[in-house]
Amino acid sequence: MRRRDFLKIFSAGSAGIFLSRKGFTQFPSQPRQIKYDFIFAQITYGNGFAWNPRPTVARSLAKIVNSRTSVPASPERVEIRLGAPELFQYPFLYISGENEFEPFSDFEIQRLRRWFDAGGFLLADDALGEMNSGFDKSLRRELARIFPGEKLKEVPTDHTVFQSYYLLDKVAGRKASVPNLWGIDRGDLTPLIYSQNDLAGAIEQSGGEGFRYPVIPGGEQQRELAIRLWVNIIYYALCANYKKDAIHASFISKRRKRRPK
Amino acid sequence: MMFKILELMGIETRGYDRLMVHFTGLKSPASLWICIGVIILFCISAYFMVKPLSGLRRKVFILALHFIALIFAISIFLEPSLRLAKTAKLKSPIYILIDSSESMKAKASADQSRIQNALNWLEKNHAYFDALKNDYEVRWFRFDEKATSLQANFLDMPKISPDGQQTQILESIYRLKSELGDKRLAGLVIISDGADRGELSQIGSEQNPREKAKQLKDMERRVQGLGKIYTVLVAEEAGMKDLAITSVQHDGYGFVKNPFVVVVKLKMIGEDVKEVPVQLYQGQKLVAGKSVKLENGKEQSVELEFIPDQVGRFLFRVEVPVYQDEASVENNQKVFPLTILRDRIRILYIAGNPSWDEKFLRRTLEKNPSVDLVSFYILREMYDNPEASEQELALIPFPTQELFQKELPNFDIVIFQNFFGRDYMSPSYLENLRDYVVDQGGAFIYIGGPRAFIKDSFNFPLEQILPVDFSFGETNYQISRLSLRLTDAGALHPLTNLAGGELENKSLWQGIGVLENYNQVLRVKPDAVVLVEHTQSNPGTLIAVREVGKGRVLMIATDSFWRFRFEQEGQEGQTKYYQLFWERALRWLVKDPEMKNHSLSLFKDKYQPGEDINIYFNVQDRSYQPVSGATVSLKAVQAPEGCSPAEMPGEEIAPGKYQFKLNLNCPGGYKLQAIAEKEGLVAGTDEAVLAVEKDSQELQDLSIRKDLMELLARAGDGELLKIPDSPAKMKFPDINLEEIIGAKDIPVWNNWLTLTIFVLLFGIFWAVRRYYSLS
Repeated sequence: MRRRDFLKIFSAGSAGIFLSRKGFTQFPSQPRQIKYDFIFAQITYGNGFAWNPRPTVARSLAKIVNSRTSVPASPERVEIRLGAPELFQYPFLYISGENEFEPFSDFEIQRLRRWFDAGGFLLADDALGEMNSGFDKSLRRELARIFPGEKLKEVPTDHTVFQSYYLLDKVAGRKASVPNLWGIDRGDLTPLIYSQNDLAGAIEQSGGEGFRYPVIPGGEQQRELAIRLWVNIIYYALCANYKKDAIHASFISKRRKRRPK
Repeated sequence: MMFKILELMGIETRGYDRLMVHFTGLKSPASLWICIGVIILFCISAYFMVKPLSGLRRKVFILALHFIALIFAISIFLEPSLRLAKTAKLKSPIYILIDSSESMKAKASADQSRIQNALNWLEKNHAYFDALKNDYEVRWFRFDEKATSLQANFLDMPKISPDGQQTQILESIYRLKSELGDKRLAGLVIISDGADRGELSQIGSEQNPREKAKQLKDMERRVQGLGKIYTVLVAEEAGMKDLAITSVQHDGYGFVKNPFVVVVKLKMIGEDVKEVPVQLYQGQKLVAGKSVKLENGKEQSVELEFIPDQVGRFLFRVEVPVYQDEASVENNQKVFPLTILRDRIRILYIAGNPSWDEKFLRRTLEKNPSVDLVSFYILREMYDNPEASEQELALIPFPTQELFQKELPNFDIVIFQNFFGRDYMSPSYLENLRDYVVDQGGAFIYIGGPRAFIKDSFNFPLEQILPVDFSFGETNYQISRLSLRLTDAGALHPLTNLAGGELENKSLWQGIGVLENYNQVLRVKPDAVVLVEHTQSNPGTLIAVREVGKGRVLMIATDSFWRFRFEQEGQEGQTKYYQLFWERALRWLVKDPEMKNHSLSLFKDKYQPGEDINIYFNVQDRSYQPVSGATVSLKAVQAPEGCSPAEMPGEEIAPGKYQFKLNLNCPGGYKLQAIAEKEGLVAGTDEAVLAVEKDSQELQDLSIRKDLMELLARAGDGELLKIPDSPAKMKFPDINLEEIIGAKDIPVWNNWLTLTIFVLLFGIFWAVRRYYSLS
């Protein structure tokens, strides 16, 4: 057995142990209830499944977050309508699609607005990975109703989301059509981030262990970038501007300078 | 000759020496107005009467008759009478005013104060003043802001206590003059050091010559009628030496760990001094000091800066040295009370992993402008694989050694949220944390979650300070929706008393139905105070506090408190109570004075000597319930030498509220301590500080003002004397004062002669009018 293979098996085994440790306390021998600190809640809309272009995103994301970070993430997705009474149980929401969708009702807009005011975070993800898609048009229309007078702005490269876990310089998903993220700010936070590069597509799983879609044009390197961007977005949602604290700022600045390009 | 005429008329004049005309009708002011009215009417009628006449001679004749008749009529109306009076000569009055303001306490010479100098001079010249009484009526006064009469035999036992607030020479003189009314004086003697704080000093310091001349002229006019003014200077300028703190200025409050500046103004009189050390004390501890170079007569300012390291109320003292032969030593130090508040609350916040509970707490802390937050979250545990090199990560090492060995005392509160530190820190760090709370008065917040409340030897120091003992169960963390109940202690405790009223508060907490997950505990410690419980287990301690050693601890045995903020309040569009809970929690943990169980309070911190002081003592138990029926007492733990008030009892005026009433006469700083005892145990104790000082500038500048005394003497056509000059130089005029001791009135208007003349005159008048055909 080559050393590389041994290490892989060993790591997988360890990862398994470590994964199973997530949500447990000091006595792993006993099964116990798992408490997840991150639950993937996806907005459903319309009558069909247009809202669900990437059905396995939650499971895939949970695997990534659980293996790479200290946050216990639930593999189960919560599907939720904006008018549902449980909306305020989920401070993180995800919305995706490829095509145009029907406008939300006034009641739904009002609820979502209040949800944002309470401190919620929404990640919007264009599954088509192209500019000016039907989803893009509809999303912008609804955002204009939720945030009247405000427009989506380019998220600058020194934004906390690019240093909340990984140090990132670029954005990408399954595609790299748009070189930036979009966002709407509220005070010192950006409670809405929008990717036009099909972030979920980069981590969508196939029936087996692999990923369903190839990542264009950057291949697996680009996929890794998308994965890291996912982690950063989750961490930004959970930690807000933690990484902008003075105690981190100088450290991060030095590390960025020393990083190989 | 008039006396002879009267005698010829048969009127007895013996015994009288003065004859005057007296108008009885002028007693009432209305009579005068009536006379004026009649004159005006008469003039008008005379004009119309003579107008139609031709010939000037005729007009003059008629007018003359008119006026004679008018004069006669008015004279009768005014009821003239001749008054025979017997008079007696009075002694002209002389007023002697002695300065009794505080500046007279200062030394005039090595062994005598100014007031003593003045009194000795009066005693030495007793004979002169005695002789003065033979020809003049001498009255004695003491003055500061106004003149107060002394006893007639003052010179026999001359004694004055110089405690007046301010020297106001002209103001005192003008007040006396207004009391005199029309009476005049033969003379005025002012015995003073000239250290005026009023109008006279303003005139003296006027720079504009024209304006000064105008003011001097006005002063001369206003002192007219007071006779000759002599001023007596009680001490020599030469040789007078005094270093005084003229003022101490500072902000109303200081903030701990923030520089605080005290501006001290000094003045040296009598000599230039090279370097004067100025020192600032907090209690007995020297906190700042600086040297300043002073020039003779020039006020100089120096800033003293220090950094307070404790919250509370303290007595501060500014001091300068006392030099030999200084005129006064009282102005070489100044005491002031100062409250030091907490400015920013420094919080060290450790979270076991990012979570919504962490996020919403962080956002609440960030929004609080009084919080300085230093956070460390465990973003990655040792078995997590980020699949990236360190250089690609934004993760920084967790500096546990620096935080828990070196920097811990610099924090006011430490938060552990869902954190089990065994993998990250040495067990000694938790011991340091324990000692930081118990011995150094730090505060600690422990928030639950799957990584919290773990029964492990590593956590033992935490268990020692927390309100609960950890459960031995393998899984203390349970997932279950909670029903909450506010305890009786929680109903009044400032942390959980959010809605104001008791019922509203209970209803608020019971209405929180969104919390889930809790950490099971074994038991609550006897000295813990449970504020909120849930019904899912026994004990169902959810929120509890404990005062341990010098510090305070708050425990929240759930990691779902964020739901109250986001799910419950967020849906209602508000974040009021969640935010309020945390604001109060922070303030209670750092012992905000407004949240003390027992507090001594006063309306202000500076009082005049002898002013009534009301002090209130609120006494509550650990659960913030008022303690009624306690025996309370107040004593001074610090007071000016020889002025410590006796210990005194207080009176309960409302449940748990007690009042003390006292008066303090001695100027200086006081530290008072109140103790409440019930059933043999101390129920509460607190301290307060205050300063007693006169609102007076007298001791700020003890210069002898010969120039002002000269100005005043000149205005009164008098002279300046200096002790020990002889008072024989003072020469006073005789202003010929008389008093009528007997009188007899002889009316001239109600006899036959007057009546005959009156009738005759009107007869002539009528005839002339007829002759000239006048209407």
